Amino acid sequence: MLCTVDKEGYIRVDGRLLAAFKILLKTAIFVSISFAAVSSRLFSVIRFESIIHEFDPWFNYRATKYLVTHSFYKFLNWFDDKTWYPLGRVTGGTLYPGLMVTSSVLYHLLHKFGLPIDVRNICVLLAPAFSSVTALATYLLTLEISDTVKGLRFKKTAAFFSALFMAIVPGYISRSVAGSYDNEAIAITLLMLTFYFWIKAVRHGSVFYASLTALSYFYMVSAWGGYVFITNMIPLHVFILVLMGRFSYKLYTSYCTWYVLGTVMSMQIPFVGFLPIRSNDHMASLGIFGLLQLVLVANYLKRVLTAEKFHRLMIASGFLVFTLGIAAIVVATKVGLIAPWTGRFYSLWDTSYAKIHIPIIASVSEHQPTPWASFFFDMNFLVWLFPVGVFLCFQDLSNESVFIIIYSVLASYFAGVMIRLMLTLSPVVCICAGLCLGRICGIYMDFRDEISAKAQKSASRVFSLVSKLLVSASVIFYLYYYVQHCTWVTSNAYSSPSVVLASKLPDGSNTIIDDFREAYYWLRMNTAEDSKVMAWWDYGYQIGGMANRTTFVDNNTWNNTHIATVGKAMSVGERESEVIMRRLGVDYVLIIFGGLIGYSGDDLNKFLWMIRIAHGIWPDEVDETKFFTRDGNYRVDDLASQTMKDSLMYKMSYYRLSEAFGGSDPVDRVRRQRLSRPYAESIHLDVLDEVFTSENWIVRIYKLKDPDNFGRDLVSIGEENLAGKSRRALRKLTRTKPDTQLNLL
Amino acid sequence: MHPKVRSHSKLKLTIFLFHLWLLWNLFMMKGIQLFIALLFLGVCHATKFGDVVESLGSNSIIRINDKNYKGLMNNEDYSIIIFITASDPRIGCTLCSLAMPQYEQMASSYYENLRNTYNSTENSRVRTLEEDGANFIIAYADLAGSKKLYEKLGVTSVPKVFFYKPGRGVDMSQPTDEYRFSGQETPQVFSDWIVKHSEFSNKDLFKIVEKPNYQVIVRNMAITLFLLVVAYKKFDKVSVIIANKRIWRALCLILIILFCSGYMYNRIRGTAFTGEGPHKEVIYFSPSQQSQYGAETQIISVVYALLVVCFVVLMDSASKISDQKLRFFAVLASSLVAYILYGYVVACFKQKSSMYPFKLGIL
Repeated sequence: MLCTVDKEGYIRVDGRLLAAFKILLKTAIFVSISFAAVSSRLFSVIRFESIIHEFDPWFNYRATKYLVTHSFYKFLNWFDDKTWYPLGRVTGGTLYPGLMVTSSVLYHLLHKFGLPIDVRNICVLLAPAFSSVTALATYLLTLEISDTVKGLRFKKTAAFFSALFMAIVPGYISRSVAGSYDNEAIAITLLMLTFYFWIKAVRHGSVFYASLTALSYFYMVSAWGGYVFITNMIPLHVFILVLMGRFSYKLYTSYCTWYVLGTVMSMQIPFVGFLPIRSNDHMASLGIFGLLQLVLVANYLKRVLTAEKFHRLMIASGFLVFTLGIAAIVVATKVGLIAPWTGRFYSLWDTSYAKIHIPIIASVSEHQPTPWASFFFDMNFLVWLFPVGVFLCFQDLSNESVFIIIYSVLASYFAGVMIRLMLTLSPVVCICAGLCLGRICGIYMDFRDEISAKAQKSASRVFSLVSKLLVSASVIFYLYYYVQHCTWVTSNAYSSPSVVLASKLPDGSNTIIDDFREAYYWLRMNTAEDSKVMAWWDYGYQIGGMANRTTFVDNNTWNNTHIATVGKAMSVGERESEVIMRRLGVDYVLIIFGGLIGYSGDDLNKFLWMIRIAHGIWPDEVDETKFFTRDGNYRVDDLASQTMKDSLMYKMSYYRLSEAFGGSDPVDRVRRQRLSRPYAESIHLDVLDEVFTSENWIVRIYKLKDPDNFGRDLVSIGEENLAGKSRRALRKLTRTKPDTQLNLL
Repeated sequence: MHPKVRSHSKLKLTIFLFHLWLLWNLFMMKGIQLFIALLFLGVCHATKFGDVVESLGSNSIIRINDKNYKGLMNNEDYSIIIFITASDPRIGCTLCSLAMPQYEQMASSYYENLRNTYNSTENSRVRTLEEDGANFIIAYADLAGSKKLYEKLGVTSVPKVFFYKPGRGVDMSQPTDEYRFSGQETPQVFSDWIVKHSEFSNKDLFKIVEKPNYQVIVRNMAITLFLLVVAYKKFDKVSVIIANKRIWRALCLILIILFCSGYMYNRIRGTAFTGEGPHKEVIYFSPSQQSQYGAETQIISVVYALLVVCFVVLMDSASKISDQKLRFFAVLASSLVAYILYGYVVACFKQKSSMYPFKLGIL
């Protein structure tokens, strides 16, 4: 009999049935959490199509395609001659291969199973797929933590809550929507897995779990530069545990196993190489490794020696270690091995120092500090459940909850300093909020006492029933609102591919602006396969990925001089620019021009950066001030400075713009300036031919003219032609004038 | 011959001879003789520059305000560079607060260099540098206390750096040159810009000296020493405090709540405490989701802290409060307060991001 009704009226169910039912229920919950995680990331696929987003993912996609068609070793030795022409890029040695390897393994596996799925679709859907794994890893991690937190009656409830939060928290979705095929897509999963294995290892002191930690750490190193977070997080955990007097052989075993295996494995990644023993980001883990050995020896001696002897020995050796350490630092600084008091050292702690002295940090928007609204936007009510969870972790300070506390404080500091690091904060927020809600549910959503026949006094029963109902109703409402909020944020803020733009017409209907792909496809189909396209670095990856043409500079900004050369070619006059372009071997020039439709991220708005970067290398030839009008305005209309009007970028942007406006004056809708028609018509190009302009004029492509057969200067030919044309026009006018007059008469 | 002309030609001859002598000196590169010659030149000029430098004392930079600007600007013998700023947080000039320390460091290292050359030789060495355009006064002006000066300067926006050649300071609204801010100022950038304007001057004077802040070092060492002594003497009591879980818990929670309510944003950006609305009224919440005022962090962090308290009460009341009725009221109050506070947070957020469609209940 699987179930019976006993004497008291309760239904007694067989244990096996109950276990089976539990497993079924758990699976159902997991399936629905995964479903929620994946489906909320599919907005962009449904609205647009299955397409790779933004800039960097296009490079990852291209690399993946290379890996799928070539062998792994060829991939590691890949020298890419299609970028940074004529220098090329040692691509295999300058990337984190984890992402590409993951998708190529998936690709081959699926093909083995007889599912011929396109590489692009694997790349697009990799991030959503991994997000459901992240939810699972978060579940496991929270389960480990909740085992050690006092007063949690339903451990699995807490774990399920955190998995649910993790699945749809916008802070994580922002980097893992379908199509954002970037390193972070799998890195957060690996972060959670590594931490899970680490917690397991610390709890059980098991070499097996420590090795698993090292393995997943290795995977993380291969996938994302943010692995340094783990490299410092785990030593810090160990250090604080040692300070708290919690040194144990379990800790020793797991840390040493992880450190040795993890370091050796991480050095196998070509891009990382010898960093783990050189850079000061990794010094903390090395130092803790040494410290643990010392603590172990001290522990051993404490058992062997008498208390007094041990005390004396400790003082002596402590003094010795201290003096040796100071001496070593002084000597190393004098010799020049290390430079601990340089700007880099301060920038870790004094953020304003970094902002002033490292301009690249100040200029990139991803490095901006985070206002509170962004925290709320990315985490909704988790933001204030988070401290409650940390409070819970403090109730019973187990080794595992110490880890969560350190992680919370550190990650919230980093997220506050840099908006991008919200990504590493969201997992711990979800874990803490899950713990908190698990506790609340354990207290207020358990109605067994109230329903059971063994009732207490009626008044107290009513009180507890009402309070339970109240709290559970409000929690359910918060959860409902959380889901609404996350869906709205994902759909409105994080689901735009930025390759395809959506816009609203004046009548409210949606249209899709697809100029980028139109132009890249034109390049792909209409130009020679070995032709070289010059464009600003932002578009390098996209041209490589979509048009499959050689570029000069791209988003891997490793060579500043090369970028400055392109910047100079864009910002000087035609004659000078022709020389640069011929030397570089340019065939086509591609620019982004948003003036007609009002797309503000165009090249003229980035033009100042081109000028500044070129100015950095050629201070005498490119002068930023000359591009401004005399009263210091950035103008592009008739009143623009002469240098501005002569620059190649300016001419390419406004060439033939007047034709798009019929008879009226052309207007630049981004900079809100009106050019007069005669002036706009007078903008002409002598060394370039316009070959393509996309539907909304966002992308314009020009071809560099072949050198003149007679060796004449192209610019002077152009000027002669222009003069000749006007002479001819004049002659025509004078010739035809009498005719018309005659007719009239 | 007319006596007047004769004397004139005599003067000319003297000057010519003097110049010849100077040239000879330069040619022979005899340090001492050149020195005396330059000294002679220096005496010929007004000695005002030396006075200004002496009046500076050990300060690192000269401040120009309504009281002293007439004397400082009206001169013949030195170039003047003024950094025009407004440090008042109500004006909210981020660039000013970023660039000012850089400028100040440049100025202090310039004066330091100047003093070193001044002291290393005889007192009159400063005057030897007084060739036209060769000596600089580096100063700054702040809006507070220099309203009249700013009017004279014709400044409508800050920050600005004006450069006046000797004798040009009289015409204050027309500086000889103006520095163009790029947002990436370092002391070196400023000094390079100044060196561009001084063909004669000793370039070594503008070398940036990064001098360690001994005051801070000594203070830190004293504090460390004090703490160490206290820790050694009162080891038992200190260890009790260090091992106290409550202190650590409070510290961690406060830190987390502060970081999550945008404290670091204020620190890094140096935001104004409140803003000003279209009708000159004080507003506490900046209208954009990407920015915030200092007051916002305070309000939001207090609200978050109260929310945390409410939930902690909800969690702990079951075990801590034994009285049924009291427990009921605690639960009732804390869940209601939590709801209202949360509604307030959402309302604040909605105010900052106008597209946001949700709101909670009554708020």
